[in-house]
Amino acid sequence: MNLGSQKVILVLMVVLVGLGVSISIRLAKATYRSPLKTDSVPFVAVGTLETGWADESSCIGCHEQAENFPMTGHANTLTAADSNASWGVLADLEQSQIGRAEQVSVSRDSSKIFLQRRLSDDSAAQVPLDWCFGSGAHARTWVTTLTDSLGQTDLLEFRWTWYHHSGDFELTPGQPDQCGAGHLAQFGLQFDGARAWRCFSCHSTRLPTSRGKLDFEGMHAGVTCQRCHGPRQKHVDADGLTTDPRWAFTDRDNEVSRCAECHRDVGEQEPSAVRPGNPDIARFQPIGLSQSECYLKSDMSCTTCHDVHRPMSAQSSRRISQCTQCHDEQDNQQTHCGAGMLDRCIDCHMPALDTGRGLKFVDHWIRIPDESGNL
Amino acid sequence: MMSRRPPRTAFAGWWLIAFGLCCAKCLVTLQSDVFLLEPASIMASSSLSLVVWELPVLRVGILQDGLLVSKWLAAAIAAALIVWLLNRLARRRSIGFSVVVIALLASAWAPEHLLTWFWLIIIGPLLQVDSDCRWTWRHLVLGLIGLVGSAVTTVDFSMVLILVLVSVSDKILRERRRTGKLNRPALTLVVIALTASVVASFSLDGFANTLLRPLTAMQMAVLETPFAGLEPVTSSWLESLLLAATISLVIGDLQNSLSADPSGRPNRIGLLIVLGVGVFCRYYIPIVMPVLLFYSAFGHMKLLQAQKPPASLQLPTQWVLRFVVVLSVIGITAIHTIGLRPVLSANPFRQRLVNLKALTGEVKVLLMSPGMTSHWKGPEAPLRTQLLLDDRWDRFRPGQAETVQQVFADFARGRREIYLLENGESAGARRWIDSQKPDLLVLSSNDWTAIRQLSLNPNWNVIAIDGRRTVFATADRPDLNMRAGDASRLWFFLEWPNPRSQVSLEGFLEPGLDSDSVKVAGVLNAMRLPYAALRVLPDVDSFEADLQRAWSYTELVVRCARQNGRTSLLDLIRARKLIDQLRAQRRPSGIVPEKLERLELALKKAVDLKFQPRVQTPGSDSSGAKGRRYVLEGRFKEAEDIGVDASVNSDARMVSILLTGLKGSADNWQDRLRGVADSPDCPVNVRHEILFYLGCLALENREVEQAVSCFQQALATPDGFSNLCQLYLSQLTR
Repeated sequence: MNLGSQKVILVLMVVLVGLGVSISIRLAKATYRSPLKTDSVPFVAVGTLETGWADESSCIGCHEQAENFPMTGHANTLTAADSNASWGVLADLEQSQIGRAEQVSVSRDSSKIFLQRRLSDDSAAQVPLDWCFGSGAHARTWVTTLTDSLGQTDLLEFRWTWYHHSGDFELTPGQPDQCGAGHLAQFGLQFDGARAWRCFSCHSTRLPTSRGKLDFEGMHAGVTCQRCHGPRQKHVDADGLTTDPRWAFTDRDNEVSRCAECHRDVGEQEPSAVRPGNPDIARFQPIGLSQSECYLKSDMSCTTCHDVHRPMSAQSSRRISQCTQCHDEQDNQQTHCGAGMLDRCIDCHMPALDTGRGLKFVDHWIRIPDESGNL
Repeated sequence: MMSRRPPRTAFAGWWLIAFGLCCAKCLVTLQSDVFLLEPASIMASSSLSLVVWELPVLRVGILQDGLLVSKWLAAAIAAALIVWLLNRLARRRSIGFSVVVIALLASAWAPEHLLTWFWLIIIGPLLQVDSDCRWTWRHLVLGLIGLVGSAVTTVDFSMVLILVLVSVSDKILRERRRTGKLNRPALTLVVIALTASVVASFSLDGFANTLLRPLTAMQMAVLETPFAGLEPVTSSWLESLLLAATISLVIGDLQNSLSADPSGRPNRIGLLIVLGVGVFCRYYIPIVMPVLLFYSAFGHMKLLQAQKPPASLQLPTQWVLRFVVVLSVIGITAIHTIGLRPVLSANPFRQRLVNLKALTGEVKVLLMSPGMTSHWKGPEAPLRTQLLLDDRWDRFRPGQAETVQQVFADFARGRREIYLLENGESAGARRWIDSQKPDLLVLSSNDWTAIRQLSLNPNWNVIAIDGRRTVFATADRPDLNMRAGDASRLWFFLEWPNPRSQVSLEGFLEPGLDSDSVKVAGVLNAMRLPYAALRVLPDVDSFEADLQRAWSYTELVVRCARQNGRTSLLDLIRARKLIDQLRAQRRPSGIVPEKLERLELALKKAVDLKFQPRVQTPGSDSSGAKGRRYVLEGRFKEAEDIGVDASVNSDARMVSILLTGLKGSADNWQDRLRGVADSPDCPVNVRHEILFYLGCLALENREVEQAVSCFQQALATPDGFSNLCQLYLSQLTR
C-alpha cells in the first residue's frame, strides 16, 4: 500500500473517531435532557402566544360588528374584582341572607377588595379578591389567585355567587354546603394550576402562561374578537388585505367545536349523563345541540340562531324565524308542529331547565314532547 | 484454507467463562424472566394509529408471550451463542482473541438481541472473502434461512439483510472480475432478497418502517428530531466513547489488510455501513460487535491474532494499541456489568427500580417519558405488561411523534379538554388518552409539574416511586385501587408517621442510591408532601439535595399560609437561607436558577397574601413586629440585631432565636425557644406560635410523641396556627 493510501486511511480514522466522540457526547446530553418536553411542544395554545395580537379598538374602524360587541356577555365574562360592575353587586354581600348567616363582609382599600369572615373566637380571617367571573347575565363568581411552591397559579373560588335571576347571593355551584377547615377552605374551594388555567383560558382572549404561571398583566380579559378570529396584527397592518385561513371555520362541526371549547362537548361528560332532560348538561349547549334531531338532520350550527357579535338581548334567537327555515307552515313538504302552534317553539321544544340554585338554562337538546307534554 | 478447530473440552471452558460474564452483567436481576421475542405492542387509536410490525412468529399461539424465559437461561443461551461464534472464528483463534471476543459479547448481550446474534452466526460464512471459497447453492440456502428466519423472529432483520446483500454483491463482483461469469446462486439470493423486501414493504403494515430502523436511527441522531430521546439509552457516554475507541482500532487495523492480495481484501463498504450504524446508534452496538468480529476473523484484525504482525506497524505502536484495546474491553465490561454510577459510589448491587411484579392481570402501560422501555421488560415489571408506546423510533410515522408529544404535554399539564392551538387545530389530551385506556401512566421522576398535576387528579393515583419513574394507576380498576390505597397509606405515613400505621416500602417506593433518593424527594414535594420529602432526602452535601430541601421548606410555608393564614417563620427562614446559599453556588445549569426563582416567587406570594384583617396587625412600633417584618422582607441581619437588645419582648426573642438557631450559630436553640414559651411574660399568641414550631420540628424529626404533645399544648390556647395543629394531630393520632 502506498503512502497516500495510508494517509487517507489515517484521516478517515481521525474523522470517524471524532465523529464517534461527538455523537457520544451529544447522545449523552440527550440522556439528561428532559425527554418529555412539556414546555416545548410543537404548537402552543393560541391564547399563550406572545406576539401577533392587535389592539382591538382598531376593529371598530372597519367592522360594524365590533361596535356592539363590548356589550355582549362574552366580552364581559371576566372583570377585575374592583371594577364597577363587580363592586356594584359585591358590596351587597354582607347584607344578603347567606352573607349574614356565614358572617361575611367586604372591604375595599385603594388597591384591593377584601373578603372577611368573622370566626367563632371573635377573630377574623381575610382574603383578597382578584377577579370576577361571569358577565352578570346569569351570575357572578369571585376568585383570588394563589401561587404554589412550583410557582404555578392556583385559584380560590369563593363560596358566594351573585345570581341575576334572584338579584341575591347564594352558594356557588359545586361548593359544599358546609365550608371546610383551614384558612382558605372557609372561603371556598381551591383549584389546582390546570383548572385555574382552564377557568381563565375560557374567560379570556389572551392568556400568556409560563410553566403554569399565568401572566395577568398580559392577559386580555373577556372573550373578544381575536378569541375566535385569531391574532390579527398582520390583518390590521395590511389594512385588512390579509386574512389567516387557520381561523376560518372549515365546517359546522368545526364551528360547534370552537364553541364547545368552553361550552363543552359531549366527550367531556360521562355517557350516562348524556340523556335528554338532564339539567346537569343544560349549561353545556353544544352537548344537547349535537344530540338533537334538528342538528343531525340539517346543516344548522350555533350561529344559525345566535349572532355572537350582539348581546343576547338584542338577538332574535328566541324567535321562530330559525325554526321556520325547516318547519315552514306554508310548505306542505315540511314537518309542522304537532300541537298546531305557530310560534313560541322554544317553550315546548327547548324549555329552560333549572340547573340548581334557581339558575336556569335553555335546554339545547331540541326534541318533541310526548302527549303529556314531557320532553 | 486449513481450519484448526480446538477440542470440545476447550469450548466447555469458554462457555463457562462466557456464562459467568453474561450472568455478571445482570447479577441483581438474574432470577427474573425476560422476553426473547419482542412482544407485540399496540398503538391503535383511530386518529393516531401507528403502524406496528408484529413479529410473524408471535402469531404462533405458544409463542405469543414473546418466549418468556428465565434470565439465567437467556444468559446460558447467550454464552452458547458466543462460543458458537468463537467456533466460527476458530481458525484465526488465539487465547487473547478468544478472551476479547467473550468479554466484548458478554458485556454487550441483551435478551432481545440473542435471536439476531443467532441469525448473524448462521449467515457468518457468507462474509468470507477468500478467493478459493466458491459460492454454491448451499450458500444460497444458508442466506435464505438467515433472511427469512431473522424477518420472522426479530425486529432487527435489516442488519442481517444489509450484511447479506453487501457481502453477496461483493462476491458476485469479485467472481465476475476473476472468472468473467456471474455466480448464479449469489445472484439468485440478491434477487430474492430485494424482491421480497420490496413486496413486503408494500404489502405488510410496518414492514418498511422496521426495515428502515437503522437508517431512521441514524437520521434521528444526526437531525436531532424531537423524539431523539426515544432512543433506548441504557448505557453511559463513557461506554460509547470506549466503543468509538474500539471501532477506531478496527479501522486502524484495516490499513494493514489493504497491503494484502486484492482478492483477499475486506468488503470495505459493508464494514463502513456496519461501523456507521454502530457509531450513530448505541442500540445497535450489541449487533455490530459480532459483525466486526466476523470481519476481523476473515482477515482484517491482525492485531488481535496470534500471527506475525504486519511489517508496517512498529512494535511500540502495537503495544499501545493492544493496551487500549484491553482497557476498552475491560471498561465496557465493567460498566455494562454494574453500571457507571454504582461503580463510582461503591454500591453496585442496590436495587434502584421499584418492584411492580405484584401487579396481577394484564397491565396496559403508557410511558409518558421515553427511554424507559427497558424498565418494563426487566424483573421489576408486572408479568403481563403491555406497553402502549415504547422507545422504538420506527413506531412513529412522520408527524406522529409531534402529535404524541403534544398529547403528553397536554395531559401532563392537565389540559384534558379541547383548546385551540396556534395553528388553528384543536388540542387536548382526553380523546387520545381515552382511546388508549391505559392502566398505568409512567412519568419521569424529574417531571415535577406533571406529577403535581396528576397527583391532584382524582382519576389517577400514585402507586410507585423510584428515582427514575413515578407510576400512576387508573382509579377505574378495583385491583389497582386497592394498591393505590396501600400506597396512599405509605405516603401519608411518610408525611405524618402515625405509629399505628402498618406500611411497607416494598413494591411502592425504592429510594435507591443517594442520587435516586433526591429525585424521590422531588416527587414527594411535587405531591405536596414536604415532610415525606425531607425524610427520604439523604444526608449528603449536594446542590440537588439542598434544592429539594429548600423546596420542602417552601412547600411548608405555602401550606401554612393556606391553612393558617399565617407565615411560618420557621420554614420561611430556612427556605430563604437555603435559597441564598444555593444562589451563591453558581450552578452552571439553566434549569436550577429558574427553579430557585420559582421558589422565591412562591415565598414572596405566600408572605404577601394579606390574610389577616388590618385591625389585628400588631403595632408596627413594637420590636417583635419589627423583627417579624424584617424576616418577612428577608432582612435577616436587621432582625437579628433587634434580638441583641436585652429589653426586647418574647416575640422578638423568638424571632432572634429562630434566626440564630437555624443559622447553626447557637446550641440548644430549641430549648431556648421552649424557654421563651414557658416564661411567664410570654404572651399567649407567641407561646402558641412557638409550640407550633416545636411540634413541626418534632414531626420533621419523627418524634411523634413530642410533636403530639406540642400541638396539644398549642391548641390549649387556640390562635393563628390552630388549623394546622389540628390537622397534624388528627393525622398522628387517628
